[in-house]
Amino acid sequence: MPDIVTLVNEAFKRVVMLAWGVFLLTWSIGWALRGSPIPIMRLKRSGQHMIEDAVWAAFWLSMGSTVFWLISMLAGSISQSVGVNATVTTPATG
Amino acid sequence: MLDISAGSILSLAITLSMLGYYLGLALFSAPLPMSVKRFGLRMAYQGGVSALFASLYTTIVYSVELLLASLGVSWSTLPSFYTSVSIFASELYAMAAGLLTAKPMIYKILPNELKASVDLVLRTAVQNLLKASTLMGLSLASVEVVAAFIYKYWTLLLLLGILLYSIPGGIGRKVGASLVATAIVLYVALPFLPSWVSLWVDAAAEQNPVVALLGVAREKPTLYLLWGHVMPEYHSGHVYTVVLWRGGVPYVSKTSGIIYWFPVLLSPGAVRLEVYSGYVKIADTIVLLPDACVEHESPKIDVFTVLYLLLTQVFKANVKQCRVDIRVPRVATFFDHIVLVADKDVKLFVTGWRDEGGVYEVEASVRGQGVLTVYTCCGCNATIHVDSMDVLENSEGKLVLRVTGYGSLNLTLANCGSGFSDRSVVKGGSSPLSSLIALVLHDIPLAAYTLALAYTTGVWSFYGLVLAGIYGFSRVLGEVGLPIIRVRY
Repeated sequence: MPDIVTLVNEAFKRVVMLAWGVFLLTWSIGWALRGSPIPIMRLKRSGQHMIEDAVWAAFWLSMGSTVFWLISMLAGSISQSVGVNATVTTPATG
Repeated sequence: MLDISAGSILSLAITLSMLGYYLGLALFSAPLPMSVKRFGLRMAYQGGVSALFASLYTTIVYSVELLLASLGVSWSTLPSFYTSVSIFASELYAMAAGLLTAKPMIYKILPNELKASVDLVLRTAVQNLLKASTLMGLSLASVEVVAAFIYKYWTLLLLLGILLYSIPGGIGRKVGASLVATAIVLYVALPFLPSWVSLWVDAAAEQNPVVALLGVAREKPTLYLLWGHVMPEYHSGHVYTVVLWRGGVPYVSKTSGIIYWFPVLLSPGAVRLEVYSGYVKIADTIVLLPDACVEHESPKIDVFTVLYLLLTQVFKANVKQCRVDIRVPRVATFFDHIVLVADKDVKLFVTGWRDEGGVYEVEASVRGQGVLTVYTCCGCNATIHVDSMDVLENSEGKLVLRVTGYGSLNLTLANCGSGFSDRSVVKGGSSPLSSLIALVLHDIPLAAYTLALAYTTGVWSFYGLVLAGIYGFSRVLGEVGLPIIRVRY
């Protein structure tokens, strides 16, 4: 079990880095398309959408820890209202 | 070395949920088609939901235990259920064996012409009992296996379900939801199995009173076999017809001497007994069982005794032999040809009765105010001397006299034809032997089979309900991570 946990933790860290990398890539491609001198409006619009999606993704990526912290708080308060003492701690994000 | 603990599984589940969240966001932010972005968004959302599930594991376990406690059931009821069912299943087997062992005893009281058909009935009864025993045994085994597994491993199933649910991409979502639903639904529902099954058994017992005789669902009832003496104030050489009314159905018994007996099982309550001498009703009484019952073994009457032994030894029923003598005051019966019935305010004294080679003679006196009726049967040459009584009616076989103060009567009958016992107006009911065959070789084995079917149907219908519950619950759990997310494009 610890092997699988270590494996998954490693994969998790890599995925976080990948996610940030993909955000940067998409943001760059988006700006490149938007700012290019190619007179095709559809291309410029898709570039705009890419920028927006990338920014939203970056927002939720950075909120990741907060989201999971909120989830564990919510679970904790539900447990308390039911009358349970034990909680499960969320591992820290990379 | 593998260390499978709840904590490690849950932390793995939460890590997988977070992995799914970030992977989903990576897919969403990538310059890929819309469907992939939508999938990514769904995966991220599902990561949050599965993290919540994993965090709520302890709460779920606690809530389930709390729910069970508040519903007022517990797993401790199941062992006694297993015991009672397995005892009954083995009793059915023992009944089948007992019937085969009792076969010679039953054959002893059977006339030869009935032996072939009774053999067929007996074989069917034994087959039904063996089938019933097998059915119950199999159902019980399935319940024991499932219950033992769920009791020991339900939390493990729950953990596995949460873990599978957390796998990114929804790969294990449906299987995980099914495992969670199975664990929770079975753990909560299985303690209700004994009550559910007893509903079916009680319904079977209500429809068929013989089922209650086998008394598995509830306390074995005590049932009664009735016999007794018909006791007019004076009697000699007379045969009576006794009619027992139960549930609107008449059972008829012709007395052996003055002893009547009914090979019919009676529940506690009121039964009506009528006594006839031919067409003359001489008694009509209500008997309350068990109040009026005097526990007393009947004298050796073959069918009655065989029935009692089969019921108590083979079918382990709670049956008592109940003596209820029917006293008939102010009535005198002689030689199956003469019946004297006095009103309630008339005292009857019979001073002598003789039977001299077919000539019957009776001397009686009466005191009081009322009516004395003299019945004679049938076709006799009757010579009647009446003193100090007026004749109110004198027809074939019936003489009605008015008593005012004191009177006497001398009655002589000769050359009589058939007696009262050949002139019973009460028809119907069944012979004691056919009652025995019907009850012991058909009704009881069929009732046992019905009971076993009720148990089996109860168990398998319970499984059906539980499966429906699991399916519904797993559908709800499986869909909870899939809201409609509108991706603007």
